[in-house]
Amino acid sequence: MNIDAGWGCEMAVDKDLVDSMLGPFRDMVKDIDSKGITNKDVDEMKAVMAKMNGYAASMDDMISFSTKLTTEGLFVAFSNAYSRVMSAAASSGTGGAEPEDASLLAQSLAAYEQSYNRLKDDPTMAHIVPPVKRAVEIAKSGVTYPVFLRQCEEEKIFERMKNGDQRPVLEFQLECAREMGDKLRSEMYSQELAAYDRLSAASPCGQADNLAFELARKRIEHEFEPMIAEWDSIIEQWEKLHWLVIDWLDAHCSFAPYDQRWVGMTPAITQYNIRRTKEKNPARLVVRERIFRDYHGLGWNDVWTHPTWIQEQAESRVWFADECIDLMKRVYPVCRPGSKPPSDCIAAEEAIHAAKKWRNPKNIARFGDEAGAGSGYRIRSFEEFVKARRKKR
Amino acid sequence: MDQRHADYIGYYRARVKKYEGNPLYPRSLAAERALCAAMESCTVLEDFRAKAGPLSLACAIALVQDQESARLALYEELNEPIKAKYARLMIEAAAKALSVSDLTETMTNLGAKQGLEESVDGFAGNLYFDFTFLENMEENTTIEIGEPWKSECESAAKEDIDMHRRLFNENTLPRAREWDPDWKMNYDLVWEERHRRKIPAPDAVVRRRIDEHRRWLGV
Repeated sequence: MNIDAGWGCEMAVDKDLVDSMLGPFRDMVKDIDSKGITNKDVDEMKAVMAKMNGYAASMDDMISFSTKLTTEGLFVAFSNAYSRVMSAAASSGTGGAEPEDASLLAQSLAAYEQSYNRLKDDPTMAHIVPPVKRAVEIAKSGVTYPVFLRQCEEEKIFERMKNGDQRPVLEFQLECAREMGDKLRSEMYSQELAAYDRLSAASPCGQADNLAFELARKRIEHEFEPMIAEWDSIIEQWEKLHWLVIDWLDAHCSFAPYDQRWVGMTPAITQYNIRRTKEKNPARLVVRERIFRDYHGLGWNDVWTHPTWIQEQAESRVWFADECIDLMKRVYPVCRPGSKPPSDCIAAEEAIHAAKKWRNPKNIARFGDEAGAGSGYRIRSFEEFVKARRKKR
Repeated sequence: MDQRHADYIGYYRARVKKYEGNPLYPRSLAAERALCAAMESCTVLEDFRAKAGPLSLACAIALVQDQESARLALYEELNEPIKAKYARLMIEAAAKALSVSDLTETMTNLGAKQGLEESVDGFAGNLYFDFTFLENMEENTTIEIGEPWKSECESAAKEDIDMHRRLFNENTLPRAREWDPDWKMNYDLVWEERHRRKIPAPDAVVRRRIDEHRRWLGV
């Protein structure tokens, strides 16, 4: 069977993407070929490979291509066949006989040493290094294979390798959520960390059992999922109300004809656009308030004391300056069809615009404006986080 | 008993200890005990070879069944029927495994099928994804306003319907049918807890949005 079927020719879907997706599979085929292994499982691997290459050549949409490989189970079929090939190769390497203890120990040592050398300089893998290092030490200590296995079991080395220390990852996701001022996710990740610590404390190997933590984590995330959806929806709804009111106020200001929100191809179009906002926004506000109430049982006045508003303010994520928000609150009661904002509110808003102070300075400091970028969310890479964590400890 | 035999007994006893006192792994504890007892009962180590294969497989099966039983209990409690179904299938299939590699392959295949079924099930989320469109439609069709804005709203609503119908028929539908050739929007799924709990609105609103979605998209 020819693995080059559809491989050497020009691919219709993006070649780089296909290469990154199929590259590891092609390497496995090359590896098997270089070992000179031939059997029906190798044929199956190559048949699957040819099919994947064939789709890459005949399809022109990357998403469709990727879906095709998934729905036809080609990744899984390839991996299953490859596992069978490797397993048969391992058995035939011993001539079918049970390998000797000494050779099993040598194989284990070689495998753990190789892993240790690969992992030891990668800060993101720091949490998995200690048990691998210890396995190497025991294997080199002159013990026999069964004693090596017993000691690894007694010192929970296999368990620690299997579980890994998930704490750095959990701490990192909590740090990111806190930096982003994401209240609910911060609470959720805190709970996950606490569950992990609780399970680790109860575990003989000092690290939470993978399965026990997986269950605890799913339970916590399940509990938070609807709360997060509601939180996000509430913010989205009140932001719409605020823009309707502030746009309505601004449409009555002297700067409106020069504002990008309304400027059209001709002065007449600009005036028409301004008139639209003046006349339409109060009616739109009625509908949007109804939707907000229907969804969340909340109204305009409830926003200012709602936890979502308090949190967004505390995290400098509210776009409007406090002065604009005060004006918004004053104008809201008259933002009704046929009405217009009080003249002192219009004058105050014009002054804010003249001074270019419509945005919350804390929001600008954090997220930047046309004058320059803000600090944004200071999220470091996981690698930097792990390095700092290690130094701290 | 020679030293090598004694060392192996030590190893299998240590494996038993791993599961002692852990309520998540009752089958694994029993299977490891059986494996250890077989080792202890051998007069010479070579006798163990004949017994080891089936007992090692029993340990692997027990571990899969313990893990999936724990998941099954959680998914039943959380009312996640697809996940629970696959946990159940894995428990049943594991019992029939003929070898460790057969067990691994069977679990991988079932895991892949589960992924597919969950992906297709997830398309029920299309409704909530379209809430912004439905809210805009509510605004443009229920707004109380005079001309010329009334006509402008009606035009905007018509354009929105055309655009979203096109989007649904030319994108959402063909994409979904790449996953399941028979896929069609099943609004009954929205009411199933795993989907319903992700929509932060009361039932009356969801019911209304379903009617609108069906009507405006021509589904």
